[in-house]
Amino acid sequence: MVRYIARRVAMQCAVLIASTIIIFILLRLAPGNPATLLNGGHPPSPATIKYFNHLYGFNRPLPVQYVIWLRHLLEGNLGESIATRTSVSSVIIPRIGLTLFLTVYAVAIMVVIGIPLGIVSAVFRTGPTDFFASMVSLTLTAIPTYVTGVVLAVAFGVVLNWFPALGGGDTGSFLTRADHLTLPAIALGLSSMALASRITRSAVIGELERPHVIGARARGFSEPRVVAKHAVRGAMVPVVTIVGAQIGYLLGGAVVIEYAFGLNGLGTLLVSSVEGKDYAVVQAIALFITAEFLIISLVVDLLYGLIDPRVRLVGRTA
Amino acid sequence: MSAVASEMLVFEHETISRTAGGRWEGLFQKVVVVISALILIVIVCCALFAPWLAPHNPNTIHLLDPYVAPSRGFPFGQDSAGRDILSRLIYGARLSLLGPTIVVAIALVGGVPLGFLAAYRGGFTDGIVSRLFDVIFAFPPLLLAVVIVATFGASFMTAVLAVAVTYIPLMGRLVRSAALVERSKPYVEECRLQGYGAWRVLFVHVMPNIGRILISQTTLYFAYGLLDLSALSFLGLGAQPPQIDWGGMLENANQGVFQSASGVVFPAVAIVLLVVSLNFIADWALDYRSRRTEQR
Amino acid sequence: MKPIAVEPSNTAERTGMSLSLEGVTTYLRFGRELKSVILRVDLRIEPGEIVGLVGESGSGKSMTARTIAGVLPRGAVTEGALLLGGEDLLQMPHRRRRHVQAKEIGVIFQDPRAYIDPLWRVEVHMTEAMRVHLGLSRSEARTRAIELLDSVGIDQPERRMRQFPDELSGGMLQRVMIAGALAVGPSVLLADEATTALDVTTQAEIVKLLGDLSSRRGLSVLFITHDLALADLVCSRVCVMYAGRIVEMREGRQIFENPMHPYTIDLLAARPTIQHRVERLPVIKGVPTSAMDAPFGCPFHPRCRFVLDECRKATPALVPVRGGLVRCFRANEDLKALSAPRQGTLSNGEDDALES
Repeated sequence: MVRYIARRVAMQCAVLIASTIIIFILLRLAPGNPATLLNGGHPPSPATIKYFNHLYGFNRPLPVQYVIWLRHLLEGNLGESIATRTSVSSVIIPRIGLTLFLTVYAVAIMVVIGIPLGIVSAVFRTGPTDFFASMVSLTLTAIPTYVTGVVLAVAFGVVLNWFPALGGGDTGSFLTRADHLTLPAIALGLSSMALASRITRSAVIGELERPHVIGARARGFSEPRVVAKHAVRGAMVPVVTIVGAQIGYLLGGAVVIEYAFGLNGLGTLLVSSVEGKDYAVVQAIALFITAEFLIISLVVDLLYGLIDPRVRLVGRTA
Repeated sequence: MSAVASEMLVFEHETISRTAGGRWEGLFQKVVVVISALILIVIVCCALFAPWLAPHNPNTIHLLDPYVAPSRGFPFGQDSAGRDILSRLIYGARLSLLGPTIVVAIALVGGVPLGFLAAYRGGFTDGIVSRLFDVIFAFPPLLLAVVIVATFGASFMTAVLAVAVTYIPLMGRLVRSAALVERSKPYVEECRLQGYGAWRVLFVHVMPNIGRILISQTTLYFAYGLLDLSALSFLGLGAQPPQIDWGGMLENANQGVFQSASGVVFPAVAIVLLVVSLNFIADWALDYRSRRTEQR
Repeated sequence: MKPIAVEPSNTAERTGMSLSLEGVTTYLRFGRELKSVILRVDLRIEPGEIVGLVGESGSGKSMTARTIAGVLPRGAVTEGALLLGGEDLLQMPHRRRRHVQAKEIGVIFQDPRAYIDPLWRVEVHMTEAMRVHLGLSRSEARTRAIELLDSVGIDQPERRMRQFPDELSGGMLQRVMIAGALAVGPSVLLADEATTALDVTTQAEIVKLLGDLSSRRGLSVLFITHDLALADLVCSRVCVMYAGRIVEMREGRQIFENPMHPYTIDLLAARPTIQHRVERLPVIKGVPTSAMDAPFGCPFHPRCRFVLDECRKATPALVPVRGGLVRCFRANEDLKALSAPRQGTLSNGEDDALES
């Protein structure tokens, strides 16, 4: 087991480094002189150029630049934001909380509601409600998240006034935050929840027909026990896979939702930075979210090891 | 995305992402598929025949009438600049369809050869290709697209290319998995024993078998591509005015949603209808060939 | 594998129960329809007996096992009487039936790797039933499990307990399944193609194991297989099933020496043996049918070499003939003698019965 963990961690680190390289290269790919870009699109003065060269090494070969950049990164120096003329870190850090909250909230909705829903619908799978439910489910996955967002904001935020429609509840307690972020989180997580529940349903149904479940029934265990202990666990493997992938989409979708609801998170900052060509900020946010995703993927990988011991032994399921 | 997950997202389309929840009764499915196809045709017609179908010029501004609800002259209402929503919807079909088409085309052209390469050369080549895919998978897809757009400037084409980049490895991995499964099947051995060249084996024998899965999944990717592209447009990072696409219309309508919901409703419904229809068609495509072989 | 050990069990030796099926018919649900898979099956197994149930795919043998074990697919219906120690399982309230089935009927399936949950350790597989049905504590169940593993010939049982099914070989896993089936001390053991997935040497060992267990513990064993020779090896009595019905039942070697039903005769004739040479292997024309696809009249008649007109019109009943039971209108004739001697091709003027 330990070896499995070690292997996975090592792989993720490699991928992490590769992704930093990609992000690094992307910036350099931008049309135009990096110095110009960092200067907000205006041709820089010689002094500025010299300053940049000193800082970033634009006059040095690419790999060296990368190392310099990496070193800065590890020191916590993310560069300077053109928009505010302050360090990127100071711009980003206050907003991290909201984005994280939103994302975790949405993931929780997907997992805590979606998966049990899927299990239940698998067990009670006969009947007309089943078809109706799968129709609803399908439609939910087809609706873009921002549409759901707008609909929810209008319906529950304004008309019914159950939740505040605007703002991220930045000042205030955990509960205030949760209150403000409920609608966005639902908007973000709804379609993923529908997908997760459908996948869980298929997977559990698939497991319920497997021989080892029949074997368990033959040994006379009650249906709840058979389902919970023998069917669900096996079904979790594909479910975890898909959920893991969905988290990736959630991380991206959070950007859209924040923008739609006008929240003060990393998402809105990202969009405004892209429009304002504030590359340092864009880069930093990209790095942050990617690292977040990689950590989550690692956790997902480790989860497999817990669920299915065969993975630990062989590296993949039978 | 986790490495193990990459290995295992092999046949999600076969068993799991069967989007409409399992096989259903023949007649009912046929009806639904026909309706879906009709929707698709209508939308395509809108795109093709926009100038003849649209009642107004989609870009004509009536600044005095922002966010007006549907009225006699403007059946779907007017947007933030008083433009006719119906006409914009019809013209918007062009880019909204063109975008995903290009995305899917690039994904196929890039992903299919890579996938086959990885599956048939195996070993080192497979390792490299798979690692390449994994690196792209390490990024949340939309995020990567945003960063690419940030690098090259916001426009319809950059958005399309950015999204396409995230779909190439998806397609590639799919093809690789499918090809790997086929490769281990006896008939491929048979072909090789008979001395067929690798390319022949690939195109004449393996492709048709993978074809079903490929068509079905491509249809789905078209739908997801549409969702992704419209998300980018919604953020203002896609097609720029005066170009029109449905995502952009939604962005525009967001501000005025309290005055008139029609700006949001109609493009949203268009997107949803298209995506749902594509899902049904994709499911049907998955069943199609296999049903035929059963009857034999 | 080391030889079978004497059972050191600390539970009292059970007096076995007899298992009796009377007119059992099982239907499976297809949409709205119910279709039969076994038809009016009568079968009785006494404690200490091993009865063989032989048939090809579709014959209903597995369905019989499933009916006894109570693990039929959703919507299935069973008619008739299923008596265990005199009590009818089919008449019991669902809960009680499940409990009785769990405690008294042990099932061994064909592919242990498929039927044992691969995600849990062997210990769990062994102890789960004991803890749920017998109320044993974890350590009590563990001890008993180790004893059982030992008694079925698994070495290093403690080590095996901690392993996952993936880590054990097929033969060992089959023994684990047997041990697991014995865990709650059943009176009846259903072995559904228990040895089919194993190589021949392991097969022989497992079969011997079953024989020992049956006699020593007084178990009533139903041994299901498609291999007539194997059944002969271990069973005191053999039933042949076709299209969901029992078509012949004989004691021991009788089924080999004096097969009475045309199907049995052909089955035996179709087996290649070292003793004789044949020009062509006599294969039975056609494909085996299941109960739901069987034609009107005697289910075997389309493939029967001895078919008469009346075979198409009515289904023969199972009648006692010369020390056994046969379901054939021509039961009283010595059909085996009517067929040609072993050498050369089978013929009595009907070459179309052969297939190349």
